[in-house]
Amino acid sequence: MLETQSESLFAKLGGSAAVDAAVDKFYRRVLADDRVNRFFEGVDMDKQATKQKAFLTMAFGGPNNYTGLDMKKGHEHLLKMGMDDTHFDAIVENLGATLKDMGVADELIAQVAATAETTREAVMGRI
Amino acid sequence: MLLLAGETLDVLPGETVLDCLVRHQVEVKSGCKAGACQSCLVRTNNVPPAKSQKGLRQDLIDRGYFMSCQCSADELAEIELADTEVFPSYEANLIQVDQLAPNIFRYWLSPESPIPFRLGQFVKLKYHAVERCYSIAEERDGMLGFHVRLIEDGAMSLLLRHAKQGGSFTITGPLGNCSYQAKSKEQPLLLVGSSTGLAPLYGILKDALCAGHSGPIALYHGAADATGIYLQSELLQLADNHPNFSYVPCTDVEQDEFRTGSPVTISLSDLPDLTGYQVYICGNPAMSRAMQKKAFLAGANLADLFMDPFEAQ
Repeated sequence: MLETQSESLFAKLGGSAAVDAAVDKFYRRVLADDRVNRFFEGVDMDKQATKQKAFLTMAFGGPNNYTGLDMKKGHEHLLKMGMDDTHFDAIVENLGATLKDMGVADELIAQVAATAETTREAVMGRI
Repeated sequence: MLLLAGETLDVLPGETVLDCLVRHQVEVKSGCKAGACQSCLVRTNNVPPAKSQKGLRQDLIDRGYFMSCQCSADELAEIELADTEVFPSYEANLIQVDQLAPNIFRYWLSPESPIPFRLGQFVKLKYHAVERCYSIAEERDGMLGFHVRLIEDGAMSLLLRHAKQGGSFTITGPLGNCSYQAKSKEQPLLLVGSSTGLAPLYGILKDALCAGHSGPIALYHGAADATGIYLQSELLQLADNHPNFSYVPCTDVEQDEFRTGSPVTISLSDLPDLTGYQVYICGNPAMSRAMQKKAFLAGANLADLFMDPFEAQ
């Protein structure tokens, strides 16, 4: 289990303060990205932001209890809208760009991307 | 022991409020179980632990909402589910009606006992069994002032058109978080409203000026045509007296003295960069949601966006 490693990633990034600092920047990027913003049309922005915060907390290696099933259920409606792997890639790309803007080291960005990657199969409904 | 709607739930050592609810088969949503996603909000009249309210909107904190995954079940005596909140009600009498525009009137109500509220919040007004939400726009000598646009065939409009002095209303609330809450006196504020969406913005503006807000305050008020622009002389007067306050009335149809277009488009063309701004938005839902998104993309943070959409009915 990568428990100690992931905890240290969360600490290295700056913990929940880093999540708070990143969430608006990340969400703003996603909304401005024409490849994926149609999936966010008409959603309640406040509710969406708290979901983004939960996702970032997880990707940063912070505390979370998401199961693959939660991830699967939460994205089923997007599959119906035509979501595929390229959209998942775009989100991870936006996440990386956000962290780069915040001055996070490439090596840590890679670790965050790898953590986000662990949710791909569930998000895509393939589990 | 945890009390929920008159029922006693037994508590196991070390379990969270969320675990306890789930174990008793009470329907409650949850997501991350780590205090981030805010899916599992419930309410209490006790004092929930600080970490269970971290990151919540201030008005939810004030009303006792907390994340049930972040609180031990043995820390509280009673809870209620999120959608069962009961707000206090007050009887009130109609004191005076002022005409502000051809179809817009200000109703002054005097509540039987003082209501704790912030200007800009809204309440439910009940009159002869019809209930609608209205923002608290003004306060004077203990009376609350509401701006109402009377519409053809509106159930409440028909009643209000004939409301007499002394008429008896029930006020429930207050609700919402659309009230002056600048982080500092210097923070720039943008107020954007359509039609009687001016009501909460007028209250917020009055509160801000009263508090000695020194940062720039820009108010963009939109209406279909000149007949929907109201309180113009009061607002021009305020702009004269406060150099940091600018008032921009806009109308959809071209009229000499007003800017033409929607307050959303006009405010964003004047202020393309909203980084650091606090933005208050009130009006029809489509306008409100569009402004919220555009203001966010223009650099305002979500926590600095306050929105109060309403449907004319």
